[in-house]
Amino acid sequence: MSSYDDLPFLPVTELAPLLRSRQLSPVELTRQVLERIEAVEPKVNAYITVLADEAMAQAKAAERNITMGNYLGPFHGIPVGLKDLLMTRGVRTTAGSAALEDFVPDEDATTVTRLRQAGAIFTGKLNMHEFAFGVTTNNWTFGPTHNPWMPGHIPGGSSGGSAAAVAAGECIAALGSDTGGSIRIPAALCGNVGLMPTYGRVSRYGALALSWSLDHVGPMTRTVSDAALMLNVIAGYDPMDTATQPVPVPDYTEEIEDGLTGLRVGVPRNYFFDRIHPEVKQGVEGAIARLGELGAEIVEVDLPWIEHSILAEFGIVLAEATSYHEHLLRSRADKYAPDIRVLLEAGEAISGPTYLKAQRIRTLIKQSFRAAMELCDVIATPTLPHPPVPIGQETVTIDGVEETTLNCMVRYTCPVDLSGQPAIVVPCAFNDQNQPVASLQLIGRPFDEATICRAARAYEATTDFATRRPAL
Amino acid sequence: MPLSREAVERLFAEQVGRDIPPDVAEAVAAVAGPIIDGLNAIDPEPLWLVEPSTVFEPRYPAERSDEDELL
Repeated sequence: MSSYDDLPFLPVTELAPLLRSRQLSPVELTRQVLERIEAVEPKVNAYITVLADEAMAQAKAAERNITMGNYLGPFHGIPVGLKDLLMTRGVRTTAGSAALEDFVPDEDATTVTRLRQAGAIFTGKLNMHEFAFGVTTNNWTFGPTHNPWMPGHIPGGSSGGSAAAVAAGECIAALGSDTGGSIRIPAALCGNVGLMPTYGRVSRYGALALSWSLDHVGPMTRTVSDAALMLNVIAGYDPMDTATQPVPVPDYTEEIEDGLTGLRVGVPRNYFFDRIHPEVKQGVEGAIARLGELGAEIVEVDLPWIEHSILAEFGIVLAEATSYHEHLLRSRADKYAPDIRVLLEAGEAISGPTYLKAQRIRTLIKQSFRAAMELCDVIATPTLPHPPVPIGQETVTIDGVEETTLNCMVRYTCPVDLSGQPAIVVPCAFNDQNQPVASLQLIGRPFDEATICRAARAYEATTDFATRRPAL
Repeated sequence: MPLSREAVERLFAEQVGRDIPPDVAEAVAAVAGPIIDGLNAIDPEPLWLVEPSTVFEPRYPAERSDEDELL
């Protein structure tokens, strides 16, 4: 068995065989993860609510069941953290806001139910940017989450607590949600893997909404294989979510080690390498070259209309989020962080025709991606234009152009929310201080998460990034 | 004309049906104004006959070209 310090940093793929064969007890694993939480939370602040007693009770139940021969699969006995916008039966669900400080749901989100049925152990509810409307997780009510690799810097957001907890060994895997990049941005800034499934692949039921037509729920993990294993558990049709599709769910690990030979990787000629930090550019270009060395055919693609992504994204999100929050804004406006209240009130100024223009531009962006994917199987891009910035830094300047940190961080991710295709991100460069500085984004065809997992795994296998740890 | 604080206050009073503090109205104008202006500035001509996307309608199975069958 691994040493004490190792367990909270091991991937599911290594822990599951130990748990199944009873070389490792879920109680021991959970105890070590909870001790890790207690030790590093003063520096990280990844959790809003730690469920120590509940987790230990779940761990004891898992131990009993495994001992009796009722092993449920790879997530049986695995400590998992949940973004605090996922409803949890009997456990406060705040969405990172004082406006919901007393909201205790009486049912679980569908993804939580599926993980519970798979035997996962819930360590707690994770910090996030308030109501998922931002990328810093500098939370007004629950305090900022720090990037475990460089405390004092943002972990990204909105699923910043999820990414920080995985990176810091405060859970083995986590769930996040993504509307403009909120799984992929924090995963990239924290050196993790993040997987945004196809819109309609994973149920959104019980995930408090930011923008109905853009919201996705997905895995945040240490490795690509863990993300695939988690997707195996949470994917599938849900009658409670009208967006989910009644289509078969493959085993996402089945072809994951098949390598890149025969795959065509598209690299956009436009947009994705504009105004990019040189360290990021170097890291991503190196990763794409590596994909070629591993057997992929690299082809160039064009994505017209994609330069309008941010306008389309915010035109849609502002209007949908304001509609969602109408009742709370009337009764609890003073409970919102001031900047979040402004964003939610701003949707009132988006007229019906303006919202629909944003949705029509979205149609053209989707058509662009569809055309590009006639030429390739996977599109490779940077995940972000810039490495982590200090907490509280509101703007980023690249090539002499200043933009808000929000706009900067969503530039390369929000086009994929608009297109609804799946995307996975993997770290592709660390600096000489052992801090993650660049991440590779791989975008796939609708419902073809298996191919992006396969490509990401082939790249990941050539690096040691998944085994690195922050020096907390 | 850029969205002004006064225009936001008027919108809330006349259409939303509740008051908005002046500082919030000012910030709302600063957030929403550039998005509205940016979307308005996009030439509508290429959008003729393009329907809005209100939900993603992915095709299943995943779209593949004929070449994929040869792999």
